[in-house]
Amino acid sequence: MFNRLPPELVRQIIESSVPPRYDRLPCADREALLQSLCLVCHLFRDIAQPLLFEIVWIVRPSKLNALYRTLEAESWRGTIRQLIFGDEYDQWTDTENLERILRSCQGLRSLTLRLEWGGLWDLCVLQELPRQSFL
Amino acid sequence: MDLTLFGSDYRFSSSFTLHALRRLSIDHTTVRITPILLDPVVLPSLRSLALFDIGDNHDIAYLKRSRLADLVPQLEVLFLESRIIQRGLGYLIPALSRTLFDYYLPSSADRIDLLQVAQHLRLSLYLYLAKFLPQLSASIANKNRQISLRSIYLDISLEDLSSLPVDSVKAVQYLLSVCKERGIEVIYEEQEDGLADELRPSEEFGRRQREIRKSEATSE
Repeated sequence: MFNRLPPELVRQIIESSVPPRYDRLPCADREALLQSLCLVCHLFRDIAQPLLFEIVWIVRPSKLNALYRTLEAESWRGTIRQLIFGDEYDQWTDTENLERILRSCQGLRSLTLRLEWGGLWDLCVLQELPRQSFL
Repeated sequence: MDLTLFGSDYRFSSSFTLHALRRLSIDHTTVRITPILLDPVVLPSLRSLALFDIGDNHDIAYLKRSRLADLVPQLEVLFLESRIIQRGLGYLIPALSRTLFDYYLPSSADRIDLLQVAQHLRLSLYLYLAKFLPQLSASIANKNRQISLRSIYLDISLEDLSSLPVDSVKAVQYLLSVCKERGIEVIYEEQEDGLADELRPSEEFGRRQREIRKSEATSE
């Protein structure tokens, strides 16, 4: 049924159903909703998946590598607008992976970091990010 | 455009400049890096600075080693905790009209009257309102006291009094009445939590400050 609607309309429906919010609970809700929408049909997935990658929120350092592989494989490099990363759960952070991800985020507009378990991370890396992003 | 840092695991291997960074938020866990980070040479385009939960002597010692004083003139908005008022940082005085202070319950040892300094105050959703508000309201109501307060930011959940517990309703109603009496604007806004459960900088305060600057620029 949705295939009969103009894609722009379907996009508007999906975009209006996901809160573009920062804080923790809506961020988790937003992810869950977009993940569900991705499973509905190809049309929904094509629209919802880029939205899913616009705001990335990671609290397990072990997920960084998986994120990097996905960004590379799916050409999502320019999609991330907001990255929220915290090394909760007392896990060691592989800062090399974090740096690789940051360098590949061409369109990053907002970065939130909480690093307490990964050794000293060099903030000078932020200077090397693409000029068109936030630094 | 935005950078928010928490935690202590950061270092700087060399001197650097974050050319296009406009908004920075840090908290007390990150205060150790402020002597290097808070510097107009490092942050030439910074316009908004939030220092969350930074106000004790230990934190201020780090801030005093930074170039925050040189950074303040270029800032359009500051978000600070009200405890910092007691530390007598004189270079903040010219920026008071563009500073939103998060209310921290005054201590009996305070030498500076919070209400004589702060022009804009935000009350966190997580304050136990029934306990804190009457004291604040009584201070505002005291007409023998000269105050600078012009606006108070409350969480939007306080706008609907019918949804609040009875003791909070009384406390909020009293605050509203004393604010009205003394010409203090009460602004409701959804208070957002960040990664470390800190309150995010107020979007509404930032918006109002931008409007003020725009109207000042047009009238010049």
